[in-house]
Amino acid sequence: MKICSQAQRHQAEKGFTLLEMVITVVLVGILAVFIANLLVYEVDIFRYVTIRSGSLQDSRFVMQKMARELRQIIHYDSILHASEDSIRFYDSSNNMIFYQYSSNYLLQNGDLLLNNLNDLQFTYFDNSGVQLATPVADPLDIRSIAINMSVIVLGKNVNSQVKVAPRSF
Amino acid sequence: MSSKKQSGFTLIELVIVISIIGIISYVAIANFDVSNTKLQYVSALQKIITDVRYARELATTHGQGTYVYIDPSKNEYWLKWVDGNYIQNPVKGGDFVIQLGTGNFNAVQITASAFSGSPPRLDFDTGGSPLNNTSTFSGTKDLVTLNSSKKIVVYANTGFLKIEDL
Repeated sequence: MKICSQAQRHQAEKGFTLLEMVITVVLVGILAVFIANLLVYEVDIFRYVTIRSGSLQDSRFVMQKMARELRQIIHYDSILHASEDSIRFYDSSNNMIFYQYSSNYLLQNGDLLLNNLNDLQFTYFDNSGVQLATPVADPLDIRSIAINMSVIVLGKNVNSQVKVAPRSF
Repeated sequence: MSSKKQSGFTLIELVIVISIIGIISYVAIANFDVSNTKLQYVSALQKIITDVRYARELATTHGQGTYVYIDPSKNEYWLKWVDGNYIQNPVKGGDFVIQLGTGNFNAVQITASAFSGSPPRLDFDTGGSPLNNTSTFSGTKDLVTLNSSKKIVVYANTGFLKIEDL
């Protein structure tokens, strides 16, 4: 009984064959992986935006804070020390402030002000706008100060810059 | 004769298998409970940090001190001006009071704060420096601990905020 008639074969094939099942399962699997990737991508974007905006908020605050304090310096001789990675000065209430950048950290009087920094540079200019060599030999020459900051946000650098002329100079 | 020739699965068999797989995966996903634990902590920590930074920024830009109340017993925190008026919530409007342990944060519980006062209070002066309930402190201080697993640390004088594991 090895040779089946056409009618007999049709009656026998009532279910799905294993091959059909395997193909279906593989297709569904590929689709599922694709959709799961999309979902993970959405979560990653959300996470990236949240952390990025937080870091930017923090770095912007620090830039504004430094700019404000530098702008309120009262006299030329209030700046005690000025180098590429640090500045020491008296603020408007005669408190000594010491900003110092060292290996990814920005410290204010030894307390952590900002982390995840890629670079931070102070540059100083005299009364004719010429950049002074650092460390500045005579801080009395300083008329304006620029801060360049580069923050690492989730592996990418975000740069910001501010230039301040203390208002009483 | 016909039973010997059945080489495929029938539709009923498939439906049964698929529904069993469905039930098992439903139970498995419910047990994972990802949405109710780790994601909630992480987003709650980010939210608190963002809100406290907002209070710090307001204090410097408005020239008026602000403070943050952290209330572990009510599981909420709120932002106020130093004169006692509520800071307005810039997103939702109204008083800046954030209730945890409900809605999207139903698994989040404030378990402790190292700041003093009842409820514990973190102040920002007009320079953005943090105060432990109006007096200065040094080093770092734990602002809030969530579910006894993660905490937010405040750095003295600078007001820098950082998430740390317990």
